Amino acid sequence: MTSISQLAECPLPALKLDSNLAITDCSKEAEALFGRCASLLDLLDSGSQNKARHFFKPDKSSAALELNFKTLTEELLLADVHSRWESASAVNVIIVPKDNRINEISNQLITLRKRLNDTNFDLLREKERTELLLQQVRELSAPCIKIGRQQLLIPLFGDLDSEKIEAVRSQILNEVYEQDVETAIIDLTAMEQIAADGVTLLESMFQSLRIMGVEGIITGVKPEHAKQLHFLKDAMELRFESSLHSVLTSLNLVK
Amino acid sequence: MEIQPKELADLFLAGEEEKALQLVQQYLQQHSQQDLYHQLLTPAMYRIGELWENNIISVADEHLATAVCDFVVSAAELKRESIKGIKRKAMILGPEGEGHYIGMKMVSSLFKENGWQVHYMGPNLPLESAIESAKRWKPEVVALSAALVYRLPALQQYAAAFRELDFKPVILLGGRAVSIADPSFIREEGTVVVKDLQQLKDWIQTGKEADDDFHFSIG
Ligand code: B12
Repeated sequence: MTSISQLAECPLPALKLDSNLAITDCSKEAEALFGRCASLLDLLDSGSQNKARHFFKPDKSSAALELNFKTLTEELLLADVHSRWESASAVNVIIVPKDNRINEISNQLITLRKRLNDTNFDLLREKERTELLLQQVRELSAPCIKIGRQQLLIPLFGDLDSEKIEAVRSQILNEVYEQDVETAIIDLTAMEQIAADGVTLLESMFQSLRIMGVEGIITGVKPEHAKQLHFLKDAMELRFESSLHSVLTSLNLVK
Repeated sequence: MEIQPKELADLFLAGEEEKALQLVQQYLQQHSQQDLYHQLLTPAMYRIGELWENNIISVADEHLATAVCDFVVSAAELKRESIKGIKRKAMILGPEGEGHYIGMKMVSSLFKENGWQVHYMGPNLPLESAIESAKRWKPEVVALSAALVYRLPALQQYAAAFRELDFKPVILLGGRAVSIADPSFIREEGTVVVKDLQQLKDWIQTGKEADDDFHFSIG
């Protein structure tokens, strides 16, 4: 560094460099911020060194250059660097630190975004839990009750839709298989709504039962369901009984 | 013609999130999520870095571009159906002082795509809360990410703390800082260094560490 500094009193960090980017003079502000260094490159973050090497040339225009500096306090400081070449071997450089507002705002945005993300995540977890519960309810809405030696009574509860049938189907078929059942009585007394896809799946379940050699009987059909179930009767020759009592009587299970 | 990283970078910088999302969704009809991250979004963000090095854009522009990129990553992720069944657990985070998080989000997404359950904790997470969450949730994998080279010591410190946990999670280290670091960097038992998403995918699917991890490319 030269003995008489021309930059010392500059109110901003300022440097004088030679064409190899060696520091030949600096302002007190610069020294306070960065300490004493031999080269501009020593002040810079590794990701900014190539940029500085590339742009600090006498023939390059003097547009401001954004660079990251390493401060004495080990922080990274983003700054606009303005420069003017005095001659081919000397350049004056003024460093204008960027205000940190944009970083702060960006950090706030990140926090907000994270919170949104967390809320989303909680909602998703809640949804998964609800779905699990719903599935359990579905599975419980077709208890298989053994009556007599080879008869199974299956009262269906709630709405009849494809999800419900999917949920109870394998359970029913397993039960029928394991208990060596001859007749499966599906009681619809506690059934509420019947969806179109529910009827289709119900039909395929009866088909499976038939293949397993099991007779399916439907009972407890309400007037509002009769129309929807009508075609089952024709298409599958399913047996319908008006009440559970009449089924049990016909099977000689009650007198 | 299919969208190129350069074009996408321009859309990010122009804040054109609708257009960017539309093109990305078109791209996704022919490509996997992983291609999207590895071949398109990462190069687009690296391109943003080049533009900065060429003094064409400023850090303020990078903020906008990141926000748009983030939007695209999140929106593209919602389309994916999760695989049912018992899920393995991964926790993903960046150490205190690390603010770059786009890479971490991609890592989370890749785990999810492979049927894992993921806790994405974000960047800049203090060690104490990271450890506390891990104790509660007991993830099988803890993935740590750093883009800033100055965060490497923190990464080592975090990794050491996670190694102490009694349920012994596997610790994955990745991110720009890790992939350009000295190969001698952290070769501890239970710590896996992963260079990029392709290696991560291989690791997820085979459980084996890439054997070329001593030949890092400078990215
Ligand atoms: C966009 C960007 C920003 C944005 C970041 C926004 C955000 N929240 O993410 C903003 C503008 C905020 C920013 C800020 C800063 N940045 Co910046 N930033 C970039 C830039 C241009 C792109 C980063 C990016 O998004 N990449 C895309 C992602 C997808 O890539 P990736 O992170 O590498 O991740 C991939 C892999 O590494 C891998 N991966 C990542 N993590 C993990 C983890 C695991 C476990 C695995 C397996 C894999 C894996 O998967 C990803 C997918 O391919 C880079 C340039 C570059 N070349 O990287 C600079 C860069 C990283 N930033 C840099 C710097 C210096 C900063 C600042 C200090 C600058 C400042 N003063 O403002 C601050 C620091 C903020 C902080 N506290 O961290 C330097 C770092 C230099 C260094 N010495 O390390 C770079 C290299 C630019 C440069 N040449 O100077 N930055």
